[in-house]
Amino acid sequence: MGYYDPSSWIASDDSIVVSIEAKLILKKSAWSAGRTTRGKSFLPKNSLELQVLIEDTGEELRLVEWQGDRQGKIYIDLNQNVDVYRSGHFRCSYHQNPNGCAIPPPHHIHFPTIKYRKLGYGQTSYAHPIMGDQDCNYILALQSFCDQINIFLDKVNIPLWSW
Amino acid sequence: MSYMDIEEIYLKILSDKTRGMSFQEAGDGLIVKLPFSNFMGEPIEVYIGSDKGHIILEDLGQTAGCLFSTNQYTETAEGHRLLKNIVNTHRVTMDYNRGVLRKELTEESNIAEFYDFAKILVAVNAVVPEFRHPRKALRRRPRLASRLVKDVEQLKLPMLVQKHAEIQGRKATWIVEFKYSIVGNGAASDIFVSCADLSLKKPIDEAAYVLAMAMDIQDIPSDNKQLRVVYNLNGGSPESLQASELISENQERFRYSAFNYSDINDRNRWTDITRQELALISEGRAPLL
Repeated sequence: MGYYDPSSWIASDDSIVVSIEAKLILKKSAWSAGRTTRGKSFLPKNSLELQVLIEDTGEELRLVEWQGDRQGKIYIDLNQNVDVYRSGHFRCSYHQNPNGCAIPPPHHIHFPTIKYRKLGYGQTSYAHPIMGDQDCNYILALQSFCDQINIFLDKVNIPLWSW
Repeated sequence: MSYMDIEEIYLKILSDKTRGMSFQEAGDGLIVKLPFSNFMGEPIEVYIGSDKGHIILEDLGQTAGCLFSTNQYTETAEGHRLLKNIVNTHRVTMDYNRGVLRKELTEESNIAEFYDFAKILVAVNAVVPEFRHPRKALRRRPRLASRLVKDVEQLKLPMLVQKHAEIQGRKATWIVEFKYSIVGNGAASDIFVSCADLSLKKPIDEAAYVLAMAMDIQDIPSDNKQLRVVYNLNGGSPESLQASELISENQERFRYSAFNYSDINDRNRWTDITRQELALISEGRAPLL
């Protein structure tokens, strides 16, 4: 468990968002989030929601993971309210960083910078690659995502259907 | 227009020469990558395949993923309701079991149906993230130690209290939250206040720490030493209840007083005792050692 500093992937005229990275460096623990069972829910395959607590500050983050149909791409987002701090894309194709650097498949994690702060919403952003097999499964993806940002998963009950 | 097969649709899309569109084989069908980004900044994809002799269009679960990521997946959420309205008007099915949007092409279908389906995906990916509302934050109380500091500060006597004081045991030196000294019945007495926050960390570990400290210091010969343990509960979880019982049951055995901060009567008891003792010091009736 640790923290991966993505600074080396950014162009020299840009930089990481210090206030966000400070939160990601701190030790965090995750546990399964309670989900409402009332009514119908339109959920993707293997959807998993975790609450993440920054132990030193008491702040709470939300981690969601889900898998696409057929191709089996896996997506993991870590956010706080409306701000996405990291967005992991597993079993995906190439990603082109704003500085022109191509991140090879199969996995990469998007991170915010001062110039490209908003992740998602149809906007481009920086990403760094992570090691792993093309056919990595749902659990391995979660573990390698959490390994990069110091999240401990020992309190998480992984649903059996996700194996 | 006659019924088209996949190849025909494929050729039709190709013949439109839409720039930025790309294709990829996927099993018996193909995946079309549209020149529009989804909410994650990746190309929106449409699967074209066949099922029981019908041509089907599917979204590969990206729309359900969008609702899930933005916390809009329940049927009462705005995003879910909006999606339902859109798919109803376009005769698209929401497959709740697989979490995909699906459209079956009829014999009268033409290439426009493919673009209509694509438009739904583009619209939902553009609009739903704007509905993103934060998950209701849990009402998390500050840590017990911070609350005790606040309580003592309210007594306006913080200078009389030593924070993070040390207490020497037989085998180790322990850190407690507060220490102050009073004179009662002609003898000076040291009061040590330790807190066991059973709400955040592993409650059993917290209780074990307190018991180990109490056990370790009780053998040190000193008549004028009092240990008080203030603990709280985490909404009655089995672990925190077990930990609180451990702290509460061993008071006499290890000679300390326990106060349950979650219980209003117990909390008032602790505050009253502290206030009275500190008032004695501030009025000069008891020396500050």
